[in-house]
Amino acid sequence: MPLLLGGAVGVLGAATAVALAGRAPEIGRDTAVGIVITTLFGLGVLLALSQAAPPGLGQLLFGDLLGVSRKDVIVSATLAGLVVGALALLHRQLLVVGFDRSTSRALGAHPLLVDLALLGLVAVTVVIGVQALGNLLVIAIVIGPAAIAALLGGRLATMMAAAAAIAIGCALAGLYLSYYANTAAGASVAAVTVGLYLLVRLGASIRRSPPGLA
Amino acid sequence: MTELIAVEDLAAGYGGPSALEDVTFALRRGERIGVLGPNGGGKSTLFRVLLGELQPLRGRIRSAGGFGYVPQTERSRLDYPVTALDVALMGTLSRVPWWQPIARAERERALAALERVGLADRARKQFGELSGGQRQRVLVARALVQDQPVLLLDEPFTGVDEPSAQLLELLLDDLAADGRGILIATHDVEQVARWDEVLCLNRRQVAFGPPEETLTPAVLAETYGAEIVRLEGVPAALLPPHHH
Repeated sequence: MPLLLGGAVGVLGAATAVALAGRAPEIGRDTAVGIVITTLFGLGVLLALSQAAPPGLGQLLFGDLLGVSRKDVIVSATLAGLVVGALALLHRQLLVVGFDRSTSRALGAHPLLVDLALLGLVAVTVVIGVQALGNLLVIAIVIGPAAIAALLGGRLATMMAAAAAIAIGCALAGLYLSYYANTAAGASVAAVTVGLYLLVRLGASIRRSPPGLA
Repeated sequence: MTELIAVEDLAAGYGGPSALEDVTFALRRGERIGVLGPNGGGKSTLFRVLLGELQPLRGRIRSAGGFGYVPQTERSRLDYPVTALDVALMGTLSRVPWWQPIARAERERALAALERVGLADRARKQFGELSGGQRQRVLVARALVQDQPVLLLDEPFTGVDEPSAQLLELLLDDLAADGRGILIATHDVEQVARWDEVLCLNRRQVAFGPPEETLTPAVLAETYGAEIVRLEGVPAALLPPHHH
């Protein structure tokens, strides 16, 4: 639990740093993410390699999918429920700001509020995922299913539901894989997600190319 | 006729020298005002001030209500996962509080707006799969869902094929006939000649009035500087600067 709290504080701090740095026109959002991530990653490595590194650090980096306690599951489920609720409330704003940021204010949206809310929600999502997969592999389960759903197409709401379903499917498949192939649980989930993405991507490009070439 | 917008001695800018000054005009019910000017002449600045995104440096704006806004279609993302109906429904955000789900009545209003712009059969199509002209009409439908007395259109005919442009122009005539006031930024002098008033901007207001008074060679030369080209039989025609 202290790990979760500390992680939450750190991630929210990073999210705020990204949001603020990204507002400077000479930096830009992508660069801001790069700067903040590399800075914090460097700081993390520095701390991890020091003599006084706390014993739980390995777990933070790689997670422990099979060591998750009942309490962890309850906390994660509650946080996930809050994220879904917030997404439902924010849906119309998210849709307008994502579609065309520059005119979203004229339509009655609040882009800065949406940015902060979205970064906060991503932060909470990462904190949920870090417990199971660690902060290196968590990216696979946060981005992978969404990328797969985006390839499948549809409307934003269906895409979000599909991404959640795909994530659950990948997690289950990854656990079976790790059981039978005797591989690390978190890494297996990440591998299944990335593998499925590559398959769907291949399928999508075959479907798009003219018959005869495929 | 009632004034929907009255602008008096407006000046606006972005910190440096003012990007636009000496602007005084009024938009009445049922009027179409064409806003002419070169790129950087202050058309977008005027719209941003009217929309409340930019504080004026000087002057007064009185308006009877809010604005329905139609941005340039090139700005919207084509890979974004929304249907034409989703885009039209975005117009509800200025009226229905953002945390509330969209009621059935709003959905019907959005469908009616899409029907009005001739796209009822495209409501479930992905926005990015529509043609440029159809996308522009979806954005007009979205502004209709905003349900405001004044429509602001930022170069709605740029990048739109000829049949769609004609449809769009007829639609604007219809909307004005309903009693809306319409402000249209454009580069097309011939088109502006068919509307009620013309506002010529080149970092300041060069002229405002009915087309027959404002579309003179002298005014156009002052509005567009050296970009004017004279054609036989036409008082003054111009090459639209940076037409994509």
